[in-house]
Amino acid sequence: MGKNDMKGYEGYIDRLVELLQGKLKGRRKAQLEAEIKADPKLAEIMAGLKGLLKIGDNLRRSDLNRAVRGLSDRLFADFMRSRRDPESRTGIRVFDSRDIPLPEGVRPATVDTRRLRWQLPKGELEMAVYPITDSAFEVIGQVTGIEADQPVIAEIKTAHGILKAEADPFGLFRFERVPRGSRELILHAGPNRIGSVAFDL
Amino acid sequence: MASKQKLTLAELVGKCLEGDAEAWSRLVDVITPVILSVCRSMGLTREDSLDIFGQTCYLLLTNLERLTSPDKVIAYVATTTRREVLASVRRGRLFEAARESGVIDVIGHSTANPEQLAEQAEETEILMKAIWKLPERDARLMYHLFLDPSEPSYEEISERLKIPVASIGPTRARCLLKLSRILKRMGDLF
Repeated sequence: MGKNDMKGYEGYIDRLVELLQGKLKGRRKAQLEAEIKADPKLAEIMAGLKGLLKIGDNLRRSDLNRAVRGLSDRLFADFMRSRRDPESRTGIRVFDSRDIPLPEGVRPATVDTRRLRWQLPKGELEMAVYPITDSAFEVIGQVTGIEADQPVIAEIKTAHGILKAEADPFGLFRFERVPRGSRELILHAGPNRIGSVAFDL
Repeated sequence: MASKQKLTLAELVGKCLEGDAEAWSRLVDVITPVILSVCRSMGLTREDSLDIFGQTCYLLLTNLERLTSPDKVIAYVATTTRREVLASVRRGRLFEAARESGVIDVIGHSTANPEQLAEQAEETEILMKAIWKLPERDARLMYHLFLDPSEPSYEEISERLKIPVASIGPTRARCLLKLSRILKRMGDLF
């Protein structure tokens, strides 16, 4: 299919788009439809265009596009970090409710809850974060899919020392008050590090 | 990664495994329509859709080495998304209650019925496979012209693909014809 074979077809594309979007009316519409009927190549171009427009419309109707981009970029960075340094047991963030745009017309709530989820080298960590004051948060987490003989201990470093919480038999742990800032949570089972995740509060 | 490099989807996968963030970004362009259309067809909320999106991306990354052909990547993503939705339903992770209460809307605001949505998800999968049978630059041109949610201008597309603005118009007709012929060969026309 050489460039010359396609000479003249370019001028049709915008009109084909209008036709498929229902914007072409009257004589212009009838004329284009007749041309499509008479020219198989034009009909083929329209078939390809039809599928693309339909999917493009669906994608544009979703307001998740920016959210998926932010999530996938972070996820890739976490993934590469975990490959480069397997000993760090870096968790890969697969969900952060903060990425989701608020529905149109809804204002951000003064007190909001955030949900986060990570894949660990073995198992999974899910956390919910609640603001309790302007400068501190309650953090509730659950570790699942980990086979450990010893209790799982969660640690968060702060400027005032290390906060520790022991997970119950269901893997649930809770920090009552974690100061705002960039935090790293490290999970241990006895002497073994089983995961570490970074997040902002 | 040099933008003028012509890569197949399989080569793109290879670049991702080398840690190339731009290659991953291009791969995300390919898989996002597939994942979101499956989520839409299964009636998921925006929050659930993003959760499934992250989980599917994670599983894709951990299995990339085994997926060497474009068809396999796209089919893997479509199947994994469906499986993850069902697994999440079983685990009770999805926010059914929130959706029922109308607090969180279903993505896409579609008025189509479930059968139509399922059909649309299959069409998306087929179309993305067909696009990636085109040469990489043509595939990216089709993506930016018709699927890119940011709706870039010809100038922006020219910058991204390192092609003259004047060549975009004539190339799109040629690409559309090629795409239609690929779809015809695949036995699926919209």
